[in-house]
Amino acid sequence: MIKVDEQPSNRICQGDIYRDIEHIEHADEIQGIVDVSKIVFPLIIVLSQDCDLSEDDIFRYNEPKPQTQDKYLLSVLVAPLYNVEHFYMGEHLSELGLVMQPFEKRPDKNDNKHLRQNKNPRYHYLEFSDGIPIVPSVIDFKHYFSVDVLYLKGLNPGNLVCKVSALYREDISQRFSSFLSRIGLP
Amino acid sequence: MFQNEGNFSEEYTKGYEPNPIITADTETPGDKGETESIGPKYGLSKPQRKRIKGTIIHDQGGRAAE
Repeated sequence: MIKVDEQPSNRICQGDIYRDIEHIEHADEIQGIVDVSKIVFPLIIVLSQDCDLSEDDIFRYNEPKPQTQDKYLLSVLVAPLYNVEHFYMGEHLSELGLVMQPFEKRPDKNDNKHLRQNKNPRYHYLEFSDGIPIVPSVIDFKHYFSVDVLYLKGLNPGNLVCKVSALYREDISQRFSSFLSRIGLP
Repeated sequence: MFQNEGNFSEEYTKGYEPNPIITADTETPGDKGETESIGPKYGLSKPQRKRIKGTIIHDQGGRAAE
């Protein structure tokens, strides 16, 4: 069971979970016609380092303004959360035309236990207390993208669902960085 | 994120509805991820693709002509 902070911050934080976030796949212009393709993710979690997000916020909004924009971030790194029931069936990206590998659903099987105990390096399982309105979810560390800072900042407050507390978000961050920096030996 | 300047139309490639607010009263049997708790639940829907098409109005000075 993951814990969340009751008091939301007034800045973007690592571990923030937002809903209905757009990711632009591509934007093409052909003879004056623009074609933009987006993916709308029901839920994402912020993975960027919290100190970087803090410095970005200070440099953008504190008075007096710093003389440079040295700590501005170009984007915020995020990862989608997938409904674990969709994930078990390999159907979590079916609306995008993608078929994923089904995953062991039976809780007494080792693969499922390892998923829920976060022993599978590729995935991070999230289960929230009853007071948090999010279904049990999975992060796939192969899936991440960046979001414009001002886009996130400008979202309706209702898009922020909750903020994962420090210990748990650092666990996610640490596991993500380990997965990203893995070395595939032959 | 994208400046809607010009004549744009947008559509979801499939019938997308932003995360539905699900309550115990409106849940239907077989809804994935449903629980016994009452209140909104997020994460029931799947990622969806959305397309926007439109024409660009090119302005020379960085501002649209009045």
